Amino acid sequence: MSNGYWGKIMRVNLTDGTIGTETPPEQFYRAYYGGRGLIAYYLLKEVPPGTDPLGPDNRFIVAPGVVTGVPYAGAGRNSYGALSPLTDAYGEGEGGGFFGAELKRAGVDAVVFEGASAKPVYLYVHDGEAELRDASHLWGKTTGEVEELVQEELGDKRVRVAQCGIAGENMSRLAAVCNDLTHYAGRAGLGAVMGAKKLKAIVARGTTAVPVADADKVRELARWMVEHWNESSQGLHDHGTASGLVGLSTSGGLPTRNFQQGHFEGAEKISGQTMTEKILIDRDTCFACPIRCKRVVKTGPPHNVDPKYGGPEYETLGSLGSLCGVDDLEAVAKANELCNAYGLDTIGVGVTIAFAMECFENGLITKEDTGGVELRFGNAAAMLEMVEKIARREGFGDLLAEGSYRAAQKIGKGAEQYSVSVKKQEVPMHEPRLKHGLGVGYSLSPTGADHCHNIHDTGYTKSVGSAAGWGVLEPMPADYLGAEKVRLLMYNTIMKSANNCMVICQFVPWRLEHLAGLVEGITGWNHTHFELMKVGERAINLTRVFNLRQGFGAAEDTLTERFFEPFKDGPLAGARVDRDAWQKAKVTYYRMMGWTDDGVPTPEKLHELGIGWAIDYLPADARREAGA
Amino acid sequence: MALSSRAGSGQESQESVRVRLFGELVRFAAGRGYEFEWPLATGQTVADILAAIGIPEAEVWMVAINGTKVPGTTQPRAGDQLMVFSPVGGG
Ligand code: SF4
Repeated sequence: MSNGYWGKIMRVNLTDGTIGTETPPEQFYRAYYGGRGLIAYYLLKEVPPGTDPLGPDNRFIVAPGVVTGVPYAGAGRNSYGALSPLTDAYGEGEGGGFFGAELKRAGVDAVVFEGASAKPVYLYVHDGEAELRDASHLWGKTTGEVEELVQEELGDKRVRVAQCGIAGENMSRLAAVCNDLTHYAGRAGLGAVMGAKKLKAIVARGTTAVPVADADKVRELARWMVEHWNESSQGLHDHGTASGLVGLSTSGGLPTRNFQQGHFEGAEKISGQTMTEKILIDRDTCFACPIRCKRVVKTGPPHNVDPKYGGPEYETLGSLGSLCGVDDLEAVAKANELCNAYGLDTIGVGVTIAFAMECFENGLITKEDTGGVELRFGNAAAMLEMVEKIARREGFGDLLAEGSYRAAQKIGKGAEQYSVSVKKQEVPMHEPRLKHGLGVGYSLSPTGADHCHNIHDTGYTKSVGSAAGWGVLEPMPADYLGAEKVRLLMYNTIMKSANNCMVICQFVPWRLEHLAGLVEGITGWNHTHFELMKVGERAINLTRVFNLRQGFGAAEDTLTERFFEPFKDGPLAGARVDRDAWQKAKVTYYRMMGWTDDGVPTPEKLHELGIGWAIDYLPADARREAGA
Repeated sequence: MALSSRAGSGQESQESVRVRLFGELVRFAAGRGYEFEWPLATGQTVADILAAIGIPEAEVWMVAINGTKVPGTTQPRAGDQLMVFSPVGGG
């Protein structure tokens, strides 16, 4: 009997309404785990170049991993993937909460959707079975309404819902996938893929425990975390992910006014600490996690923020706060509620609004374009109005719903310089002029600018922490970009890729040896950290081959021009990313990964990872370049 | 929490700084919480104060006085706000 997985991947054809299953062998699960590995595998095999991300031939993949659903901290997460309508490249996002665990306990390892339905539907998965049900009555409803209606209809409060929101229905390229109402796979516009397929939701109810090889070992690890999490995550529990916001501003690295500045005078007003003091009413959590880093906030008039939608993360306080010059905490909390109710990526939305604010202040757009909105930095009401317009694709919001890159191209007049994006994906709230390795990571990420599978250089300036387990023994400055930093970046990207194949929360302070121990205890495979890292590296290479085939090579591994220019003021005045050092670091990364100087995985590297089959999926010019 | 002194009040027997801990440093505060007064001795530097509280140097990303980043050799003045930050990834 298998442990950690069911050997069952559900195939749903939305065009003709048929549902089937695939039963991959054990080797498949051991090589890819689930999550990113599984998504990259299916996209590479089934989504050829030329596929319309919003057409029926795209796939939409829902994938927990081999360790999901077993009760230990971080095990409730879930991955979603598709060819991204935002980046036109590999698209993936993860959400926390309970949905991933529930889906797994409903008896499936993943669901792969293809085709498109003629009318709105949702998939209900329970006890290893699935059925497509009519969702016409859910279309046009907020995420909160949908969750309530589905639970009522199925007569079960315990069903877990992943859904696309109104923004997804409207095929906004900033549309997120929402699960459990307060958890979001925000990036890459994946909600729009659901909307295009008329797939309103996936609903799961699971009653079967995931089989575990060594229950004692897993219980012991789970108990260790319950007893030790507060030694390194008390601040995360108390003040949430925004506990470091004031520090970033003080250092000069808090993205402010569309990345023109790194220091925000209103930082204290929108910090995690202030949120705790003023509007926090509870802390929420994910499946089996004792850390409870999620916020629940409530306010009175004028915004009346509904606690049902949780509360803002650091990324949201940055993107809809400092990045828009807004220091009104309650307004940012309202923007967060609106994004959650409509199913929008708060990062993409905040960065796109900040982009429009800079365009407005420089006269590239006027009140005539914005429908009378004075779209200036610091105008909280304007920010809120734009969130609503983007979700509903109303007026100027219709343009912004395309994301800042496409909006800039439409506006013209040099607006491109104000779109802070990499591979068309908006840059999250981490500043490359503070964290220089992270800037290189933005360029290399398969999903466009991303902070989750990246390095945070400031964590290695005084001590190396767990990186010692990779043989990195010396701390190094945050602005250093030599080969030692690239090595650390590479290990970080591989480790976090492995996390995204396991689909485990990266905030939970598991030690390196624990992670392999969890895989071993759950699956029964004799497992090491080496094998875990190889799973992560394998998945990165599959995403790389996919992106090369989509036309994304070294020339597309770019960084927004703004980061090569110095800050004019603040604690990091004069700091910029050194273009030559950045370029050299990129090539060093390629070489360390066993890729050519043009960023193409060599046949030997693909064979070394046991994915020689992927050579055939490289485009002809890349195959030549790699000597295949 | 009782505040032992504030700058300029002139009533306290000892001068102090206001310490504010950010991120994950609270575990070194021996139950004092995220914010507390700390007595200031003549000539004491920021590094001296952190060592006296028991915060290991390797755990500190950055220190600021009244919102401005400073090196560990800085000597704070009575009533200053000493902000101490641990590195955080954010999410
Ligand atoms: S650390 Fe936070 S995000 Fe991660 S599983 Fe726990 S509650 Fe969820």
